[in-house]
Amino acid sequence: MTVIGQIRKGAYFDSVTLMRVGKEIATLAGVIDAAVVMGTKSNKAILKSSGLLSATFNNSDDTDLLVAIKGETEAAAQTALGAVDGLLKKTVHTTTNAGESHSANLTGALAVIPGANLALISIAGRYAGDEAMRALESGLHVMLFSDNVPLEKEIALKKLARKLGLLVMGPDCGTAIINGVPLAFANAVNRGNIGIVAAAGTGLQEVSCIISNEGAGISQAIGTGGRDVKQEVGGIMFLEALKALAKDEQTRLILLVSKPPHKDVLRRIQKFAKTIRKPIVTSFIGASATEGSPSSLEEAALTAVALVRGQNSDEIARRLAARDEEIRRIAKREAAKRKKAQKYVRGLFSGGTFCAEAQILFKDMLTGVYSNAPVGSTKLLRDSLVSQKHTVIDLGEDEFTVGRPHPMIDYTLRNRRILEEAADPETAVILLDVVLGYGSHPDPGAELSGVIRQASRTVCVVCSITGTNQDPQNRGHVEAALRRAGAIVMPSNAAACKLAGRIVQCLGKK
Amino acid sequence: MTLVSIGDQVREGNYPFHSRFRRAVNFRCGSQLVSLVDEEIGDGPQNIVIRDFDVELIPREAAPLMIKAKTVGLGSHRFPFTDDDYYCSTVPLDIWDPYLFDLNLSVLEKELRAVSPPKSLAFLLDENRIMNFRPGFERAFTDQIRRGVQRIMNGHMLDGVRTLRGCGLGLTPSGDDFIAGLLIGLNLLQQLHGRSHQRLADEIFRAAKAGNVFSNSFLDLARRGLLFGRMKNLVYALLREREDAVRKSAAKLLAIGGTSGADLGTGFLLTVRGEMGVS
Repeated sequence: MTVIGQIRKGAYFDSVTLMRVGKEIATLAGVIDAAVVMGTKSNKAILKSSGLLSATFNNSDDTDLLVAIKGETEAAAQTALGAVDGLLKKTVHTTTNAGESHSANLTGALAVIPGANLALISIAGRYAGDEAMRALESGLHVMLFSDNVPLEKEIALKKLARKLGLLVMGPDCGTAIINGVPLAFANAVNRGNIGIVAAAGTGLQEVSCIISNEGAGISQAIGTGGRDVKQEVGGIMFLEALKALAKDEQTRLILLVSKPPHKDVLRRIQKFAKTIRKPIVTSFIGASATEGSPSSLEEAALTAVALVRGQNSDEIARRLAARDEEIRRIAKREAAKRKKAQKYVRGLFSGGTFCAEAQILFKDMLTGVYSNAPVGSTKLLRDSLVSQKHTVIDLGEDEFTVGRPHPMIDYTLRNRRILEEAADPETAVILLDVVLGYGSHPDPGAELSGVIRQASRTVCVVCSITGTNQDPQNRGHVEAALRRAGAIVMPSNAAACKLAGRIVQCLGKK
Repeated sequence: MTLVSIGDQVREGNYPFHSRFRRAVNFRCGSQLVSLVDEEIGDGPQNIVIRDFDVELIPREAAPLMIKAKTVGLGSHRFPFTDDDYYCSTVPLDIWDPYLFDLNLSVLEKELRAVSPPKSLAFLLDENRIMNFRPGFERAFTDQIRRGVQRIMNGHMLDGVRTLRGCGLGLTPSGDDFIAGLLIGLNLLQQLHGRSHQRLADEIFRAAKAGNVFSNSFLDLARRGLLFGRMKNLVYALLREREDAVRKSAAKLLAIGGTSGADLGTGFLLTVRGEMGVS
């Protein structure tokens, strides 16, 4: 066993970097322990007590960076020391035991997979645009998970991509399924012949899961990022994705999902859609619906399935009308259990699209709807932490995610809010979305059961689950856990919203 | 790039370049540090907050920062400012509710225990968190921190501070952040109860001061009760706001650095709750 040390004069690193580097060195072959710290007296005392103090450090002071490595052999320690530069600069990464290769930049990644044709970029927005540009210049399609990419950069990227015949999905694109491969937050769905273009992340997840749960499947699901359909970007990638699906041999029907595009963009999409020979179903949430067009994500997905199977889409309308009857019956039953003072819905959403869809569906059912992310006639909440009348909250908004993971991953904030809302004597219904799939919380059933059990003693808890039985969490298992805890689980967000609205309507008649 | 605010402790003068990070470029003149920072880092007594801050646009060569006649100059960049742009780093304490303050401190403790980064000093509040530290160097680090805090709790304030000083990783080691929290707590107690702890705070500062310019600057500001934006908001919320506002401010504090916010918050909480031998 041997301890070696090295002093680096005037090198400044933040604690996160030093922690990471210390940990990575300690996992190298033949290394027993390691630390990378500033050379303060206290740190030297810690190095001493943990057997990492080297005589080399006698000449160091507070502003020096100390690298200490305890190895099984001198050679192992020296090898590890040689890796420190690379780890600090994070330009070189090791190969894991599973044979999965890592690289810290695009050039390195392309050297590992020379045939790659798509780059998924998830780094700070300020740098993401440049990296995406490099990827395009290298001939790669881009999925840009990062947000906060400047608008001008987004436009430049998309114009270049169009010129090169490539796709830029994003910025702020959280989900896609390309050639059967789920990217970022996506679900394990059947492969099939329905292609999706979406400028709404959880909207894409909802329709792809409903399609898969109906036994149909997805050819490609292309996200564009919500800003693509705004006037400034002009729907460049929405149109390019539509073109790509028009050419895609596996795609027999195209489903378009978005919050309302800008009117000019919508006109462009409609004009282009007329040139495509494949059937197209649209769900532009909140856009003034033309007669016969789907009124929810669920209806759009079911219509797509019916059309691709050669069935009449009127059958879907009849099926949903029958379901609405069932919703009325459940609503009456649940309203009878509530007290007179209970009169409001409190929707706590992890998916922004679901929060928007709820507001659109509530528009004709409830008055006095408030949100931190208002759509249409909904009013803006004064304080996102305090509900007013009927309130729907998008917990994925920046105000809730500072320093925290997204609410699809970390349920802490929402669980707390569920209990707060349940304690409000005016709350009648708590409405929740539960989004499964890759990247989401691994066990939402266990995470939510406790709070739902407690909340459902005083209020009605209505949930929808976006997911499939093939998802890592298994939709069936999650549904069973939520029902056991006392929740009413509906097959879609639209159905859950309608039930919540109906319960409150019944209470109003009490 | 435009100037959003300038700290009330930034003095006129020429500040040679010291160091640069993704969200901050530091300049130093003697013991005074002035930082150009982005809006995410935000207000501070010695911060100049710049909108659309892009470190790549700041000259890499050692151009000094010049502050004169209500203008901040750096290379070819000029940022004029007015008196309205000054950030005030003190908290007005004219109105506060002792009962609410006690309630809010327990909210802060819950947040520190629940959402602090794994390797922060929140293990001093929750013993189970010790499992986040690897045996070897990391456990020796927690032992040293515990020893220092124990010394303070047993009435040996300066000895404990010397044990904590410089203990930990990074630019401002965890031990220094904890001491800064202690000093901020002392200053608050002094203002709330009208009992002077300034002499003790000065002694603590002298005991904690070492060769790290970042820590020294940070500790000096804490000793004088001059707070950066996120800490000021938390103190304000503890004294006057409801639980939700405390949680929100605590979350913003905990998001600072790797563990800095949580380390500082732990030192602050233990001090204002009277567990560090000063009440």
